[in-house]
Amino acid sequence: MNAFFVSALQQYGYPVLWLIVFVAAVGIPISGSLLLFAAGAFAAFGDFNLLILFPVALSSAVTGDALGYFIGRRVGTPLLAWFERQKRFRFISGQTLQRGRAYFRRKAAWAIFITRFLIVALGGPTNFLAGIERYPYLRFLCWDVSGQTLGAIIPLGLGYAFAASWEEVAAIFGTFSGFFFVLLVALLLSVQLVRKLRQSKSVSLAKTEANEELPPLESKTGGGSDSLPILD
Amino acid sequence: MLSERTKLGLLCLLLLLVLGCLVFTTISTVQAVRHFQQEYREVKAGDVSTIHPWMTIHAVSRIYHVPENYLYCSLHISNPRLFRHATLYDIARRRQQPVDQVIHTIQDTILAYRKASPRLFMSAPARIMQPLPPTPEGRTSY
Repeated sequence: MNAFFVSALQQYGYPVLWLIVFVAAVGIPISGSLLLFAAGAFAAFGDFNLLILFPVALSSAVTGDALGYFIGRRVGTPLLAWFERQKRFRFISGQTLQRGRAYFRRKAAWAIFITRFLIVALGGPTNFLAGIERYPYLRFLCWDVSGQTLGAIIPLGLGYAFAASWEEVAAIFGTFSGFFFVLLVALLLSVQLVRKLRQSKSVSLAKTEANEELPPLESKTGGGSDSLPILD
Repeated sequence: MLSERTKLGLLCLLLLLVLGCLVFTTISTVQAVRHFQQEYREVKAGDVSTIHPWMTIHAVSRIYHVPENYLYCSLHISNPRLFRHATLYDIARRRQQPVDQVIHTIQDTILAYRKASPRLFMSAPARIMQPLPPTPEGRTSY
């Protein structure tokens, strides 16, 4: 598949690059960044111009992201409302869903920015979610362009610098992206776990304190010599 | 609804699973870095085993310091202009051959060129305009 796309890139040049990066940005599972690595490498061999590649890559990615956002806004919002009415979310309570949506609204800017260049695989779903949540488009565009600038410079630059070994560099980038995503999930889960543990500790402490306030049961312990004294 | 203790247990289980994934992705990243380092060293040394299907004849010529025409001749390509942007994968597809066979031919050609002109290979790649050794077909290209 990749060999086919790279061949198409060589044969048809910039329009194919624009089209593939656009389709990848919309959310179709095609590796657009892999093609950017290849384009950077071919630029090093003199087949492409980096100064043209950069605006082509940026414009296609931003246009694709905008399409994903507006699909989410037009289709996603009524679809989600319909699903909620159908009570299809029985495995997720309405409260949990609302909490998730509120969390996304709080962190949307970072989510949009990071998924443009670091966790590229989640770019499409993030655009869709931002559309569903009716995140302000100008703010979305701002974070999108900032992220996509890095998303174009990094693969084009690395492809250009390591032209003969661009496939290996792209593999490192892909595995690092996965590593970063899992690390992020691990950190979030750790924070959640620490919170839960603190919560349960404070609950048990409150229970202990409540028990201490109760009068000692002298009749049951009998006040024998082997029983521990209860201190006030 | 789930009790607090069950939720805590599930969270621990999920964290363990994610930590397992973290170990796996760390190992994958380290392996990818090592593979890159090895490949990069081999390319720098001019090892012909690093030829890939994505390369064009032009790219092979630039990386391994072999004249383009010499490579085109070895593949019996009479009109190089038509194949200027063709990758080895594309050339193999057009010739209805497995790509490995095309790569193997290119590798043999590079090795033959180096054997025939070791001084040319050792010197700078800019010397490719000098008279070249005969191609595998016996013709001399410039």
